[in-house]
Formats: sequence, structure tokens, C-alpha cells
Amino acid sequence: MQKGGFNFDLYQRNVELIEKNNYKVPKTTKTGTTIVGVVFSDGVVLGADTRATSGPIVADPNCEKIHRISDYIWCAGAGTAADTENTTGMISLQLELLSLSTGRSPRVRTALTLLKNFLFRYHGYISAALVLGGVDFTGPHLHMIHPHGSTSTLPYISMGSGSLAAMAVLETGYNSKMGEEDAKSLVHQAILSGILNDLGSGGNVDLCVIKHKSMEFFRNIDTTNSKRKFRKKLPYMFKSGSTKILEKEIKEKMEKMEIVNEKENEIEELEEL
Amino acid sequence: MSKKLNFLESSFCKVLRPPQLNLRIIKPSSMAVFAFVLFALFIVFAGVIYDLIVEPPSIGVEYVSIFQYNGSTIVAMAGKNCVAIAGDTRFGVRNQTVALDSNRIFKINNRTLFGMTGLNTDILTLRESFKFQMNLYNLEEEREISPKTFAHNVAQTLYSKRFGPYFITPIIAGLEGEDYTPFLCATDLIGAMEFPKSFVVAGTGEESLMGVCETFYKENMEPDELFEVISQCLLAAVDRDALSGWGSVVHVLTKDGITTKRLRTRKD
Repeated sequence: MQKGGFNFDLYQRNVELIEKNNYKVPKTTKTGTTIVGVVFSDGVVLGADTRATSGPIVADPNCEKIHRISDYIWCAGAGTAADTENTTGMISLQLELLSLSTGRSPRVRTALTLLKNFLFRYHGYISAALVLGGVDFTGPHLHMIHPHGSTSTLPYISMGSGSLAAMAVLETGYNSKMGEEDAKSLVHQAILSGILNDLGSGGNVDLCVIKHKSMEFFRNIDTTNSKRKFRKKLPYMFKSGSTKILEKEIKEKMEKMEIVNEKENEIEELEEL
Repeated sequence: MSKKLNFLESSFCKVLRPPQLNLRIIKPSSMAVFAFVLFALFIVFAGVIYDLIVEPPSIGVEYVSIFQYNGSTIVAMAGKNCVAIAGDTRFGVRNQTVALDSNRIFKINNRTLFGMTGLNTDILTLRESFKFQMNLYNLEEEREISPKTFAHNVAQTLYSKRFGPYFITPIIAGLEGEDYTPFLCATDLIGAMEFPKSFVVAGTGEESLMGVCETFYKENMEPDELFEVISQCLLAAVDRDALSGWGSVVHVLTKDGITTKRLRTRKD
């Protein structure tokens, strides 16, 4: 069975396959993305779009980019989808074990340090750009983490390919005395501007509002981009039998087999002999 | 004769004189000559060997994806308490078709079907690896794995090879829970999962497949209609993909069992 950690067994074979034969490196699913975080008077609001791309094709039009690190610490991720999911998952379990062993509720700063140390070890090869936000006993915190392991602590953050579009909205609308509703609408507008102006972002808007001992996750709060207006009303109907079949095989569901007692008796008889 | 030569000598040779080079006559030893000839021969042969083996002449298939080395297509769709998974059965090496009956869709248990596209050698390796893991799971847990858990297992196996990945795109289709709710999952080559409710596509024909599936898919289809829709989608898409085709197989999974049907496709 496999031990934990990364396995580099196939690295040599892949180098020879790809580089020596001049094949292109295959595309991984990326989250082009617009992710945004804003601190307001009582807590933090995180927002993200929901498009995952594989090259120019949309692989998943409605994926979840806001990941749970702990009950009141959440993280939005941009970059390679597998990397953001697995990195946040790994740090989430490390934080849980740490909080169980220390007997204290986890801090946002601990998650930040765990994430930046992990990413720095891989020198940017794990392509995960994260917006980490949460409320712990010291108050609300918001941090941005780059794939190489550098971090910043700011009152409002945008990352991903749509970060410029989102930052334009944030710079215009942010003020340090915002309430919850203002912050929510600001993040919503920022994500929408990313969705509309950036090709790598699209789909619906997800919001996550974290306050002291409370978390509300608004999945798909805005779906105006997903509803196709001019869809054909009567779908295509295929009559039964329109596809010609060469062979047909039906396998019924197999139940578990029960051990029959007769064989045990046979074995006993042999032993006597 | 001598008069003619004297004329040539007198006219040309007076103007054109050979330069006065004070050259020393080199007389190399026989061993030195032998060494020089041997060295020249070595250079020539080394060049020939390099040209033939290290950079062999080949049909220039440059800057093409490794996924197009074998070429295959798989699609899975969800219906009402049923799922269907369909794929082509061509096994080819670049432009040549080697076999017409290669199966890339495998049954994990009564509730889960698993298909892979991409490099054939990795498909076969991972088939054995998952068979081993599932046998161990059945022995340890004394129950059958649910499709969702199996999907997470696949993603974890693929992500452990993040920096030297298997070149496959897996698709997991199954029926989850007591209600037999349809479950679909597709991941990329390093295990980033997506869980759509309608259909998943993978392989060299995935772009055409996305188009036809978006058009023909309806929600809550019964197994018969689901079979028709997924077959038409697959047939349309492999017609537009040079690397897939040459036969196809469709599995429809309901709570009563699996119905497998083989379809005729274009053989080109």
C-alpha cells in the first residue's frame, strides 16, 4: 500500500515520453478565477466565481472554490484546481489535529503559517494562490498567499486572473467603516466585474460571511449568468430503437453467495481416512 | 614537342611563378597516420549512430498531446435512478489501429462503473492497481465501496503522482445510497474532481462530445431513453474524431443490473 506524500516513481518515464518525443504537457484543470476578500466591522466576507477551465474549455461551470479550513476559517483558492483542493484539505486536517492536541480553537494566523510553509517547500510548483479569511478570538483576519509562499495581510484582497477587474471595484467602493450588507454587496459587485470582464472567470457568485462564532455560506447567490435564455423549448426526442445494436448482454445484480454446509462434511470424511 | 613546351615555359612561366614557400617536408610515423585514420573513422561512425538512434528519423508528429498517442473517448450521463457510460473500443498507436476490442470501462461493483481515457499503458496499470485496492477494501470493510468514496480514492491516487502524473482522465459513474441517486464524477490527470449532475465527457473527442451532450441531454430520463441519447451523442462525436471509433460499447446501470450493448460505428 502507498505511504503518504508525493510519489515520484513516474517522473523519469514522463520526462522521456514528453521531452524526447516533443509532446505537449497535458492541460490540468485550472480555476482562472476571481476571488475576493473584504474585512468589515464584525468579520470577513469571502467571494468567488465558479468556473473551472481546462485550456480554453470550461470543464466545470459550477465548481466550489471556497474551501473550509475550520468552522470559522475559510479559504478561497485560485490556480490549479487539484492543488488548491488538496492543499486546503491537508492544512484543514493539520489544523484540526493541532486544535485537538492544544485544546484551543484554531487561529487564522496558524492556518496562514501552515499554508505558507507548505507552499514554500515546493517553491511555487504547487500552483495555489489563496485568500484566507476567518474570525478567531483575536478578531477578524484576512490574508493573501501566493504560490511561492509569500503572504500579505490587507483589509481587502483580490486574486486570480480577474483580480484587476475586482480590485478596481474594491478600490472604488471600500471604506473601513463598512457594515455587513455593504461588504456583501461590494464583494458581489467585485466578483461580478471579474466574471464579466475576465475570460477565465464565469458562472455564478459564491459568498461566505464569517463573523464571531457564525458562518453563512451563500452558494450560487447570483445565477444570472447561468440561465440560458434562448433554449430550444421542445428537446430532441429519440424514439426507442433508433440506435442499431450489434450485441446485447444483461447482467443481473449478483447477490453475495452463502457458504453451503455440505462441503464441510466432505472435508471431515477425508480427514478420517 | 620540346619547342612547344619551351614556348609555354617562356611566356606563361615567366609571369606566373610559384610562390617561394619554405616548407618542411613532414614525414609522420606510421603509428601517427594509423591513429589519425582511426580517429576519423570513429568520428564518422559516432555521427551515424547518433543520427540513427538518438534522433531517429520519424514522421514529424511534434507538439501533439501525449493523450493523442492512443486516443479514446468516454461519456457518462445520469438519468432517473440510472446512469449510462459509453466509450469507443479502438486501441491505436498514433495513426495505426492495432485492436478493435479494447475495453476501457470497468465494473467496480454492482453500483459503480469506472472508465478511463488517455495513455493505454497507464489505463492498464491503474486498472490492476484499483482492482487490488478494491479487493483489499472488500476484505477489510466487508462491504462494497460506494461510488463517491471510490471517486475520492481515484483522486487521491492521481494526486499522489502530482509531479509525475499518470496520463489518464477517469470517469466514475454509479448509483449512490439507498435511493439509488445517480452519481457522476470526472477528474483531470492530477485528481481535481468535478461532480456534475448531467453528464461528463473525457478523451480526444471531448470537445465534440460536450457540444452534442449539451444539446441532447434532458433531465430525468428513463433507462431506454438514456441509452438512445447517450448512444447518439457518442456516435456523433466519434465521427468527428479521427482517433476514436472502430466500435463502441454502452453500459446502462440501474438498480436491477447492468445492460451492455455494442454499437456499430464507422470503421475509419
